Amino acid sequence: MSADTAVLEAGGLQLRGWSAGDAAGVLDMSADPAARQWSSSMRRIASLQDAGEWVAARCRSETEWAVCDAATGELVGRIGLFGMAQGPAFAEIGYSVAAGWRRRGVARRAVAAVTAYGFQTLGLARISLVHAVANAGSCAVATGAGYVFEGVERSSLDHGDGIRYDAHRHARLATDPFPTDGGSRVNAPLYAELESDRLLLRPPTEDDAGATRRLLADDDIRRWNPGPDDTSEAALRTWCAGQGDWSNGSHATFWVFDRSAGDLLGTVSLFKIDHAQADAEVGYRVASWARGGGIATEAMGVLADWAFPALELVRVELFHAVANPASCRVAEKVGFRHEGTLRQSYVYGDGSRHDEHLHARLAGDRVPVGQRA
Amino acid sequence: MTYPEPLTLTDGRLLMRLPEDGDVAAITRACQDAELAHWVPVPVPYEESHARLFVAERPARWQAEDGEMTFAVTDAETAELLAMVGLHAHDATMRELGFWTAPWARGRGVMTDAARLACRFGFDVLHLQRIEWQARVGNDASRRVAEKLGFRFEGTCRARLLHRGERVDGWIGGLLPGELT
Repeated sequence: MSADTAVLEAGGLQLRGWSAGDAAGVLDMSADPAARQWSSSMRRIASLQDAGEWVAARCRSETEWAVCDAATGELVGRIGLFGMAQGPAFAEIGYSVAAGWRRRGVARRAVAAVTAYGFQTLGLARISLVHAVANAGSCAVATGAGYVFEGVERSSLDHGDGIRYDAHRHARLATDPFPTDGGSRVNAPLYAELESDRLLLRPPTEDDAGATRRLLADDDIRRWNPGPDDTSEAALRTWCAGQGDWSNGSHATFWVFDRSAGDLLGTVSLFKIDHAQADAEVGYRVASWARGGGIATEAMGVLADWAFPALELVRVELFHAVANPASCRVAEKVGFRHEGTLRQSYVYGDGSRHDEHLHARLAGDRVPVGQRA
Repeated sequence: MTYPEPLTLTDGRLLMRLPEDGDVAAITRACQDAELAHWVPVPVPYEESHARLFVAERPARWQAEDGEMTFAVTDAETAELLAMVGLHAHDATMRELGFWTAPWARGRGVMTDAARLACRFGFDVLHLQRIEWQARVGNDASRRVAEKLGFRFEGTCRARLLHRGERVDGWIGGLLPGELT
């Protein structure tokens, strides 16, 4: 290797500069469909010679590393810091992991090591991590390594395959505290869009304030699941933005729209998400103009089918007032079994304490036929 | 990648063209404005030599793969310089919209119209697939222009922008084909 690349150790991994002998390993890595999908440079590799040229280009860099199994020396991935010409203290981190080595914490450990090197040795102030929205694994790596979610940039990512992908931008600053849990936390998604035959579910934005006001201006909703007290335009914009911001990991809230007409039909939310306990609660609202069409059942089904695997949940609970029997039917249809009746357990929007049914669905439950998204 | 030669855009009221030597005095005067300098990372103090270099670099920057296509926005009748708008290349099909308005031209929708012409040029002539907008957090005037054109706000990026050596928080938004209003 010609460049003077630092060797980094990361929990059983060794990160070192590239050398000519890596070509065969790179050729293997480039055969993996996922590597080809997310990397334009890997996609161009068709022969050992191509792989050799790929390696040669990286040998010149001081901030690109081959990620190897420290015990055997096997090439298990690659990682680098890029774009440092943009500004003296900025960089973007990029990486990939060989097919047989995924889901073993390779990316998390490599990103942590390079992040620390970037801040402590190179004196960087900010490192960005940009990944395609569809690449959920990278989102988990980013959040686990303390890279804060900043937004969804539409059509911003060019992987060289003629498609521009929506991307998540995450970033970590040198001044951010290191994640205290060592990045082992279960991934909390920051954004998702879900679809069923009739519905589109997405996190609300402040632009949904107008339709949201109409939805909330309803006696049933005021009683069973009210919105904020302040229903001014400004307050609702803030509230909607907050409902769409999942960054604290405690909730995943969707506004539910008619897929073809685009009208707001309701809301569904997973909240009180407890990653340690692997459980959460669900709640929903159906707009007065959308009742009687099975919207709640369909939307809750989509939410539940997504949430159990996406958040690795074991148990999701649903509470409703006994006086609200419509919710009981929705719960049962979506596979939330009635477990008991809690006496005087919650003060609802009417100011009265109500008896409640507790329903719950577990990850392994058989779900009623016809309720799968 | 070859780009069209520098060209003139107009909507009748505004005329937009490559900056030229005759703009140096007006650019220098506009960039004395503290408001402008707070939101746009122009050199401070801004001297005539800065404007002269800026104008001189424009033709080469127009064609550069990582360059920008810059338009001096002028009054179509009086030829007075009103603003500057540019499309900075990120890659072959994505550019970033940047702009400033001279203090004497604010409050009459100049930038909204100028930026709209620039974006239409970006989509129709350059066939861009995304135009990005970034601004220092709090630059509401810039954000209003972007939102009037149909840009969707996409996020807040901490310490992403470099303003004369200081790292500041940035807003980001995007405009895709078919969204320009």
